[in-house]
Amino acid sequence: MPDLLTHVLVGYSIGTLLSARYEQVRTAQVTLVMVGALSPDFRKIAPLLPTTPLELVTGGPISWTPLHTFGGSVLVVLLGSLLIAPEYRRRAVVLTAIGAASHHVLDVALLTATGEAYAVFFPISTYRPPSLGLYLSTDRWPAAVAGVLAASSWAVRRYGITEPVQRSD
Amino acid sequence: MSTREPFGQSGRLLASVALLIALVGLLSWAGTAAVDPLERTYPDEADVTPDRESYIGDRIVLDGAVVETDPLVIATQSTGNGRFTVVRTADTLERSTGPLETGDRVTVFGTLEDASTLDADRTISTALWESLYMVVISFVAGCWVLARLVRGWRVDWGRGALVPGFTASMSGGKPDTDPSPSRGDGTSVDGSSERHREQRDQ
Repeated sequence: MPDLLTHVLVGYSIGTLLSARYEQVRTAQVTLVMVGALSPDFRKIAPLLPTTPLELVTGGPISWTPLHTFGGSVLVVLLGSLLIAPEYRRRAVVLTAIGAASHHVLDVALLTATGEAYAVFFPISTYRPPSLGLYLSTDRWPAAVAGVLAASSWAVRRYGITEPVQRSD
Repeated sequence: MSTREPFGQSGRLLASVALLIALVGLLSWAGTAAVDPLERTYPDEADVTPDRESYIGDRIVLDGAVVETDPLVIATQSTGNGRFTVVRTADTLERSTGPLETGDRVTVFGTLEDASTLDADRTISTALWESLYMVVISFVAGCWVLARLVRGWRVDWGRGALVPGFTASMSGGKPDTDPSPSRGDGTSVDGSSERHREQRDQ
């Protein structure tokens, strides 16, 4: 996967552009897009937790990798939204889902040795789409491009190039 | 202004438990079933290294460390054992920067020609410093998001839920998305609608 900074910068850009367009998206909500954008990579932090208690419950080994798929993202987004007060919840689901989707799009675009991406739609399907092969996970330029994108969207937001639209929730 | 839980706190708890059970079920299924969503579908070094003969002629993918660069020899085991010679790397190598060096991590996809030779279709290599860079930069990104979460959201203890915090204090330092209250003279229609936005949700 590209480094987390690229994911977070892209999430910031998307959130910021949304905030330029929609009244309801404010700084705190932009953060939710960023959280969504890094959420599939909870898979890398989760293994630090002990799995033994969980395995005692399930009676078999567990794997954290579904966190990095469609099914895992849906559950993580919904679980996360329950932490948020009800009047902000629906918006939070939409924004974190947008962030998580951006993560999967960026990861499918990675160049892989086999030419296949991961089973992104798991558990609905184990189909592995062909990887788009746009960049290597170690490439530094995607972070630079995402940085420029983030700065541009910040400028759009700051200097009001688009007119905010009020939308009743 | 605060809204009550649509199905009460017990409804919220029930939903959390149901989602947690679903999540644990998913993790457990992936742990026991032979379908790992992130694992490659081709035989890898764990399959091939101990049983090379039965994979000759097959397309395989090997992860390993570079032992020699010309010709490319990789070791699939951390002890330095499990060596394979990779041919046709020159035109199939994908790498961010610099030449291949001893100790670099590589992933080779190709056809196993004989017990110790892999004909590469594509070779991806990563230098050690690149892996370190990824860890550091990802950690920085994680801290950034965490800091924004802590500053932008606070716990409403009465309801045990997160609500957007006081965002007016977030305008300094990092690039920020909120329109600064001090921006312009606020005479435009746009400015007044933004002031209105500042007061919402608080």
